[in-house]
Amino acid sequence: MTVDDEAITRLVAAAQDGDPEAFGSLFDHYHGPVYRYVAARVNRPSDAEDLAQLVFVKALEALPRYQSRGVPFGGWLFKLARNIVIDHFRTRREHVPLDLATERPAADDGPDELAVLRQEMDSVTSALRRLTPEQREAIELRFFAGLSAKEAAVAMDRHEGTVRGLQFRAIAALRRELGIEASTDQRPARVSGDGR
Amino acid sequence: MQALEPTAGDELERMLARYARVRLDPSAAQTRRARAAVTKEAWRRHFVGGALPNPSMASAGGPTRLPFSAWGQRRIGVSLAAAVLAGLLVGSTSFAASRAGGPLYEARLNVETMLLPSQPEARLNAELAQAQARLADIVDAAGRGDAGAVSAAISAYDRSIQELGSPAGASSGRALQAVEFHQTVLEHLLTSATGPSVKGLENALTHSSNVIDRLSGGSNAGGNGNGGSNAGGNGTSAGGNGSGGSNAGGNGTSAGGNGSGGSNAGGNGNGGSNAGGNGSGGSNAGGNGNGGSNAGGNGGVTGPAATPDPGKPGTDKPQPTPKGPGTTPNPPGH
Repeated sequence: MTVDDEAITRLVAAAQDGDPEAFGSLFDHYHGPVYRYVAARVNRPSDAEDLAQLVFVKALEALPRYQSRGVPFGGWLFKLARNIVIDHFRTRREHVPLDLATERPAADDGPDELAVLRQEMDSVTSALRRLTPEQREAIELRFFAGLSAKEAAVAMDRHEGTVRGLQFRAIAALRRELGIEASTDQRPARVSGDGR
Repeated sequence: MQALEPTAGDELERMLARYARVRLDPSAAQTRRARAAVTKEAWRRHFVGGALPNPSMASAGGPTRLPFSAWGQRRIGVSLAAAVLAGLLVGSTSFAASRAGGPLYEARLNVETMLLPSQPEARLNAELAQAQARLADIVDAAGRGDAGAVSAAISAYDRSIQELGSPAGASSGRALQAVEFHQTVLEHLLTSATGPSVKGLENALTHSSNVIDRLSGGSNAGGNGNGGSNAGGNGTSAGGNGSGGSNAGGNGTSAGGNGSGGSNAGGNGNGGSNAGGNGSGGSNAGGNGNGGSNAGGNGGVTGPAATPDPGKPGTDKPQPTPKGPGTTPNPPGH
């Protein structure tokens, strides 16, 4: 589903006025990215499901206090998600290996494809583990949740430039770990607006 | 303002996208469950002005304190909803005899049922409208303080939601949303109900919950699935035997089932007995079980045994099968 920034702003305003359908549309737009971000952080699917749901319940509570002045809604929502994940670790203090995360390969993948896929997943997992916690989070927000640097900066409570730097360094480290040569693959940085 | 977004290059971006899809994407069932819960909470807040805490949400970390001033908002909310729903009856005042509890009420319902269209989509729309009208009957009868009428309307409402059948796809979502809204109305009626109406409303809530279970994944979904994803069925009491694909064996509360091949064979279960089921082959064979007895089930060749959630312990521990596929079949639709 593609929803532009203007549409998001309208939906947020309607949801703030108490329109459940508008909030449902916001849920449809953001649930996948929020779930992916949370799942990347907590690793256990059942926790990810509970926490992602909690993010939206908390958003529902906090929405009347949200003011869009310079703060993109996506960034605000992921800041909420980030705090919920941090609280989760504070209270649960547990870590589950990434290997236990549920895998959902494409239905038509054969055994060979599955083996290759699994090897690739393990390589990415291993490369992500070698990043610093901040670099990893910057990558999760950018590539798993699809946030812009500005939104990721709001979520991480950092300056936009800092987040962009974290992302550049994390990308370089991932490429190195995964053996991807820069000369054959690297494209120039993408120009984006304020939104995603 | 425009800014330069760091890019990772085609190959790395493809790898990260695949990683997100395979390892991090929510399943359709997870999304559906979350949407149902969140939408219900949004409607609840819409209905009572955001003042009423939801016990199920409170357990997940939501608010638990009901401000004293909320009672006023709550009463206004209930009155407003009652007025809106009772408004559905405007125009029918001349048919007082056919109102809930009236001598012609049953006859009117029979006529309405006979006039239902046969085309599935149109029929679902008509059935949803009918269920909504029965709900309005309950609200109207409760507003009049007519216990007999409330009882008749509740009975009619029960029948109307049982007739909703099992719509698929987007229709299922619409029906689900409607019945969830009904639940919110019924719950609020229950807070002010007295005498025999309480029992009737509780029954109606139970029936609507059953319908919600059915619409949100199918209760007792089971059967045998081969290939594809989620073979074996999803839903409460999902069981079944699945082979191939991902999530073979089914997901859901009381999920059992046996899966082979694919990843997550064996299914994920929450609650109920024997949540988890038995799996063989693939990754994560054995499924994940939370709560219930024998949570976890048996793991197969390559996968680890089940991982019961320490926060929701089962009564038995996981039983890893050291070699060979899990062959102990569970009855489908456990």
